[in-house]
Amino acid sequence: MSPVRHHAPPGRGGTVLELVDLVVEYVEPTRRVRAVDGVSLRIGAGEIVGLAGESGCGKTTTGNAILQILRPPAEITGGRILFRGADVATRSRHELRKYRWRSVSMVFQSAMNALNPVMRVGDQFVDMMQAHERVRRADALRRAGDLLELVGIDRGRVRSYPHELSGGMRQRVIIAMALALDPELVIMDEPTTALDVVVQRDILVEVQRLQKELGFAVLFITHDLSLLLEFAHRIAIMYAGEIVETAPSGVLFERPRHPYTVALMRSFPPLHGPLVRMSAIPGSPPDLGAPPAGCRFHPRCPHCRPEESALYARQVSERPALRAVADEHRVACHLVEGRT
Amino acid sequence: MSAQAVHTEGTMDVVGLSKSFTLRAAGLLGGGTPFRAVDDVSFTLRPGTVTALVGESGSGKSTVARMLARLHEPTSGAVLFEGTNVVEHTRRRDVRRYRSRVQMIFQDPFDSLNPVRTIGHHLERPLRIHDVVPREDVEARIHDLLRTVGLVPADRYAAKYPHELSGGQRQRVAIARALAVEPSVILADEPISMLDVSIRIGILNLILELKERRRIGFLYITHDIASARYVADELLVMYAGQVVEQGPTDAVLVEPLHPYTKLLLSAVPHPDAAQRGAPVASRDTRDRGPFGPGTHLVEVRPGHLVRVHDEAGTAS
Repeated sequence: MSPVRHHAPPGRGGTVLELVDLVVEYVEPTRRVRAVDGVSLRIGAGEIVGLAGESGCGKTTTGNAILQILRPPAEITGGRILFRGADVATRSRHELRKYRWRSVSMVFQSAMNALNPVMRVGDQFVDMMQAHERVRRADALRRAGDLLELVGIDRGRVRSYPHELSGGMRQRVIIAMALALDPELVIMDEPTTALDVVVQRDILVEVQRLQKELGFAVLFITHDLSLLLEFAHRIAIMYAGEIVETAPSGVLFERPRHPYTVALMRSFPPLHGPLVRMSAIPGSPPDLGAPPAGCRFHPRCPHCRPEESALYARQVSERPALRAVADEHRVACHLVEGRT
Repeated sequence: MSAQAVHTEGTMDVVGLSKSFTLRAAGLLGGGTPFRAVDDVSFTLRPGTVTALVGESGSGKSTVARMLARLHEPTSGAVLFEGTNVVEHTRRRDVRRYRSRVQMIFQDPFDSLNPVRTIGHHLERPLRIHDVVPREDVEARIHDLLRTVGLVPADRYAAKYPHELSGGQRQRVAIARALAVEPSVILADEPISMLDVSIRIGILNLILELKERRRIGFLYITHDIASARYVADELLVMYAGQVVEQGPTDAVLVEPLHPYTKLLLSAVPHPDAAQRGAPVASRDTRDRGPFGPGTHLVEVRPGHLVRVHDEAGTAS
């Protein structure tokens, strides 16, 4: 017995989601803050795409925009979000309701606290399913049990309250809920950040297994690049509202081109090999209400030196475009020549 | 702070430290089940070194730190600071003096700062309470402290409020505040786990700098064994309230002996290409090895201890 209905994987293919020059602004009375500024990203069927960057770089806002759950003062002020080629913005409220959770679901940042503490786990599944489709309680509960088994939890746990579960189990429950309506894309926003390393690895293994089995795509949002390098098929590095580099994980690991990516790579201490004193990225990310002119990373960039006047002039005044340097490898940096 | 030649100065000896909590409302079992949060932990914290306590949540590592900070009363065992058992301190004055030598910093730097007070105010208080410098020198000292933790220009940071700082900057303020009283020991409970990966190294480097330049002894508590490798001279791995392996960091990490240490090491993300695409781990790597009753620590090499079953000779 298959635990959940799923579309036959062969029917899935092509591009699930495409962001085209997406702009999200926080419209405040006195100013506009561009949290996401011209982001383009493609997620293929069954692909795990990582979106990495520091806090405040716009990665969570991007995820919320995709799911169409931005709240004022945040609004999409430019670009398009295409799900299976169709613009999400033109959908009616009714269609959006179907889009959320059935097409795209999300595992939120503080997922551990996303469960209602005074409701049994099973009832929370029932609630969620009944919000999206007509289903009898008994059937919904049976499916909740199936879903729990799918993520490696005893089906009897439908009767448990959240506090009776460990942090790792609660996170599995949240993932099961995200998978309940068999979505094509699951956005995971820092799904393991609050967990211990051992539990984190268990959850990642689980997600990988489920992803292979069910064929959904994942947009995995995190500040921890080391985790993505191992886990994601492709990675996009975000800085100050823009994507500055994108490449398959292996390529990014072996040949990072953007100085920011290189700096991020050097920010986690190695477990093996010689120990050298590492240096943190100097400075902090810019205020998105008044981002630096030119390349947004230039105030923190080790390669931005006034001595090299011609290059420097471009770095501080001209915004670098994302250019292909190899197949599927794109970089936005004045130091990097594009492919011709 | 002069590094005088008293051999115990700034040294903390933790001897057989244990803590039991009584679990109330334990359901069918009725009330009053004792729970051993920390079971017989011993180590020495020396000036100018970092000792890391590594383990998952619930392993008892934070409880150890809280006992050393005199926030929890141990059930048994001793904490000898410069030769004196501080567990026996009962007078407020003694406790206060001890706290001016042993400071603690916490995981969430935002929780430990008052949102309506400036950064300068946060540093001024310990300077005044512990009479560290004459009144007229307080401001200069505040600026010194801010410079020490890399918050420059110091006068600008002193005037800021906590919400105007990033997480990493707030943790630097917490460290500056701990430094205000010129402590010999700093207990750092998961000081980087709430911070972005990109700024963690900065905080770890600050710890290394303070250990080297000021000879401060650090207890560094973490669940991230890679960061422990980066800063620590000595390493203790805790599981379920017990130390399962301890010793010089290099020895433990180059040749981990206890299954739980190995499990922790294998759980760290490793970006090398060889691993990619393959399942990251399997669920049967759940062997946590010897722990609990019927086990004890044995010294397998000078200073390198591992927990084994009472009847067995080795850990694996």
